[in-house]
Amino acid sequence: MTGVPAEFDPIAVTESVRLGDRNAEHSLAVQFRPRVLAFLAVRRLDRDTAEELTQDILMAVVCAARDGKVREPANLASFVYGVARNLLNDQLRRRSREKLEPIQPGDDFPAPDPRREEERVAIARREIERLDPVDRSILLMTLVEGRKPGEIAAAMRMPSDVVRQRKSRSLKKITENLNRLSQSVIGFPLSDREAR
Amino acid sequence: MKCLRPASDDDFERYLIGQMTDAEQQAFEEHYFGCDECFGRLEALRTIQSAARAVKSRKAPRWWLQGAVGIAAAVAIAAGLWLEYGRRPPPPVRPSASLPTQRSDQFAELARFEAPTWNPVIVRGASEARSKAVREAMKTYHAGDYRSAARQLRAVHPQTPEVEFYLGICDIESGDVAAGAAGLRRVIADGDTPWLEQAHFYLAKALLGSGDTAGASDQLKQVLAIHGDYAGEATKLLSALNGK
Repeated sequence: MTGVPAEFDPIAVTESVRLGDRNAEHSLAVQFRPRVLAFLAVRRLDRDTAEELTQDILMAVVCAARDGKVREPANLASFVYGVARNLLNDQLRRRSREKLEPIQPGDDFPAPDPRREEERVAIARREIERLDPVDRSILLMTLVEGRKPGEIAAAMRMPSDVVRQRKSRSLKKITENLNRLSQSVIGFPLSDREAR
Repeated sequence: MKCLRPASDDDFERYLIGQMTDAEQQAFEEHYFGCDECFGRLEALRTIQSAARAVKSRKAPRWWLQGAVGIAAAVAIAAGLWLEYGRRPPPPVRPSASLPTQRSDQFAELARFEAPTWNPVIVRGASEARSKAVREAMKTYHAGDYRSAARQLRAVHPQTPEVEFYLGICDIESGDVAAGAAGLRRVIADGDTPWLEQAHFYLAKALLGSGDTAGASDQLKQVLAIHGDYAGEATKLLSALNGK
């Protein structure tokens, strides 16, 4: 197998998994693993917990598909999302019940291929450093400090719409250069090689 | 496949910085689980966010680190002065706008600078008049008529750190170093604004021009502590100063 289909077909994949097709199981995992990781990353889980939980979530989905328990294959994505939410909540409840260490916010979460992600972050970082100082400050206040345009506008003593304009322009520029320089248009699912 | 109900840029940002309600977050997540286009956009923004965190952590030294740099700078300067002057009485304190002396002449070359360029900001609505006034002033500034630009910038209200910064540059370029230095010090006093690093750097240049090498060194060390765009030039200047 050299790569996932250009367009993921949830109905065909779900049916193939039910029929025991291991390649289909692989396609399913490749399609949803990055999404589950992103979902957990936003919760700032530590790496080990998130990796472990991702495996559990994907395994639960594959088992359900094998057993024919995915009732609406066309909505496979919603099914996976539901499983992810349930298992995360179970995990949080279990930790609370067993009085284990609470899940702590971790570092930035790794993408499926850490090397590829490191390269992309390095490119993005260089692009951010090349921004006009005002644009850079607006971007950092937004993405790192979580400040709203109105708050940034007050701090920088400039109108909110200017803050929005400059932020959008910076993000567009960085994303374009990120796509161009990393020589890989951001399009998921990842290839098999990338997912390994 | 093209997304039929793409999320706004604002949604992506609010999601990543945790500003969505539970219901919004659930709807957003359910959508990107099934949408390649939106998931691709999310991943790009996550990458940029990681990079921004790295930049921010490098650019924002802790207050104690800044303090340590300040103390180290003071110790280094004191040591330098002791080595230079030994037990002789200290040199008389010169006001920053004093006439150049033989010693300050040595630093004239180091003090020389090209006025930093200004990037126009497009402003609409109520601030348009002010924006126009700033643009006009900066047109004069870019034409090299710093005295007129300073006059125009003084008439702009409110005096933002941006205006104060360029006004400081105009004053220095017009020969009123004391007023320019005072303006840049006001920008520095404004704290963590986008002009902070530049204000330290150009204040160092101004102080060098008036022969205040200790003050210039101090400002250059502040530039280094920020780890920004001017770090390279500040390092070179400090080396040159130490080598004199």
